[in-house]
Amino acid sequence: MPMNDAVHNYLLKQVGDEDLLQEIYAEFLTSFRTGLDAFRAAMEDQNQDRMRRAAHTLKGNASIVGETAMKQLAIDMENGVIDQKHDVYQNALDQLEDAFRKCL
Amino acid sequence: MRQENRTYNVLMVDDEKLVCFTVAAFLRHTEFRLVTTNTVSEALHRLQHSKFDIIISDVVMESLDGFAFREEVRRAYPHLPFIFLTSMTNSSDNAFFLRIMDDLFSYYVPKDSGRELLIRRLRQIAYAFDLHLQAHRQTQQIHENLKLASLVQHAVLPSWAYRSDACEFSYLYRPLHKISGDLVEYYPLKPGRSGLFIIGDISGHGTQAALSMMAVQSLLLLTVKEENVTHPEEIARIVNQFLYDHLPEMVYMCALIVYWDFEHNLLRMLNAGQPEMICLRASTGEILPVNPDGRGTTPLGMFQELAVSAEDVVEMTFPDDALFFTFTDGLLDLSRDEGGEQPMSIPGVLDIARQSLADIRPQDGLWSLPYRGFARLADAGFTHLQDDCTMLVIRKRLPEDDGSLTRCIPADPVAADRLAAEFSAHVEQILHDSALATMVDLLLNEFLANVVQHGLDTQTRRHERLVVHCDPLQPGQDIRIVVWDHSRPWDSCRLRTPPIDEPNQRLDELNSANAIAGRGIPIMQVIARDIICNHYSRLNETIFVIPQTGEELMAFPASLSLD
Repeated sequence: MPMNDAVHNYLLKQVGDEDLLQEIYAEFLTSFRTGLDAFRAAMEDQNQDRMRRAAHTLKGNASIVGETAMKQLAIDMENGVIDQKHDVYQNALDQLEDAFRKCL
Repeated sequence: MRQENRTYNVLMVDDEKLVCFTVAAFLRHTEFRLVTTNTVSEALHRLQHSKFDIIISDVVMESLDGFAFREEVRRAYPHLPFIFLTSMTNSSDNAFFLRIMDDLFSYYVPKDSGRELLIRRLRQIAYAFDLHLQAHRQTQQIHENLKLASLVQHAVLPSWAYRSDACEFSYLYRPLHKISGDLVEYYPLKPGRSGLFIIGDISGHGTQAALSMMAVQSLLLLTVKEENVTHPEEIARIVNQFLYDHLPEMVYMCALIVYWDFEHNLLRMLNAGQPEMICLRASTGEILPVNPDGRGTTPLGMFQELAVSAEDVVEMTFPDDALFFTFTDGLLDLSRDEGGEQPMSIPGVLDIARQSLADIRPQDGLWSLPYRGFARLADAGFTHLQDDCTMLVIRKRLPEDDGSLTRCIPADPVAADRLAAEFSAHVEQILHDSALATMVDLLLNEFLANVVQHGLDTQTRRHERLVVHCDPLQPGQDIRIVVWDHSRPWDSCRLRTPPIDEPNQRLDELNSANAIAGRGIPIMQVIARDIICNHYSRLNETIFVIPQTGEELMAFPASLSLD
């Protein structure tokens, strides 16, 4: 699983066990995919509340595993939704999708 | 910091499985036993069935949010540590953090804190909560101990009302912190109409003062004898020596030691640092000088040798109707504000004594006087105690040759029963009306049973006393009976008598409907035309006015039994 070194080192320091680390990361990927899909679905429904909630969840998931770059993109996305700036959250979503693909 | 081998049960709720899973991984091999749930309802269910020491909760969740969850938790666990584990770090205003801080036992941990910070924070919170619990338990223990100490102290003090062949007194005792360093004691001489009276005030207040007070009391019990009782200066020397030799430095006692000879209306008094006693004539309100030359000595226990002689003792003769007010300086320290910046004064106390005396009917005696005085002070805004406070009124007992009757009895059912029978016999003897006498018996039985059995708890009952007074009885006039007691205050509205058109029928109805509840109020309401309840600083005064002309009451309903 292509996890970047910084995230790997961070998680290893936190849980001290390679197998457990991989298990957590696998769960992160599943959750993150679900979160991105939820955001897109909310966007299609133009449901701001669900969009914000999905962005917030993505931020939390990235935070807890130490994916700081993805966390920052999720923050931008959440703020874009709050400020109702379509360009901002769309751009952040695209970058987040790219970043996520690189994790797979 | 943490206790060895202590483990903590932690309940976590987050609708993101990843977050629960990761936190569980973080807390492996620590003292924290984590139970994770993905919904608030499941978390609440878990809380109901298991004991947890800490809660961790997300804020934004699909079901109930974290704050609503906290509200639910607080209903049953007002102090359980509640940690918000959240990524809401970019909150645009402070509202989020302010909401967390609304609650003293809520905390915030960012989701990206990592393992070490999370564990450190949990340990800090758990340790603080352990300290809180420990302090809470110790405070509870102190309260329990003080409550018990207060009961013990009340047991060794005379009851608030005292009556012998020689004299009668009533006093109010207000410790600053449940127990007091104030001392009140009367040692009657038998036979005879004399005795030694002491009111004292140990320096300081609280536990130390109360223990010292009880030590002095024990000393007095052992040393006051017929040989020395007429010499207050001798008693003072003994107490001075004891305090100086056996109690810590700085423990001293202000005291008023008075030998009373009520047969010859004579007193011999030594004042050792107490506020002067006030003497008022009950009939005129005139103030009689007690110690115009300011005789006396220093507080007891201050110096190894007490500079005192017979010349320091005041001798005074007094008229039959003399009322003596005495008090500890806690009364003068009573203040209108918490800081004690607006205290009472001696002229203020004198005014209160006079006004309280003017308030009462002479027939009612002195029983409510200290309580009326204290209530008057409270009405004037003097509600903040700064020190233990005692106020006492004492007088010679006068003969009851006017057809009145007063009794001071222990608060127990047997004594109450006897008193009811005695008052009933008194009514029958003077008014020759057996039906009326039965009514008085029934009314007092019901009322005193209420006071003793329902109004006083079992621990205080043992040392409580009740005073019952009946005005002089005159044929054709209402009977007026007054009861003073310290039971839980009666609801005067419930006792006010509604007009009753058909007493017998009404009595039957009320008796069957209510009297089995044990309160007996309907019975009293039927017998007494008027029931007036006054409350003076925790003393209840209940006045029953019983008509003699109520012919209809004489046909007593068969359903009512005196049993």
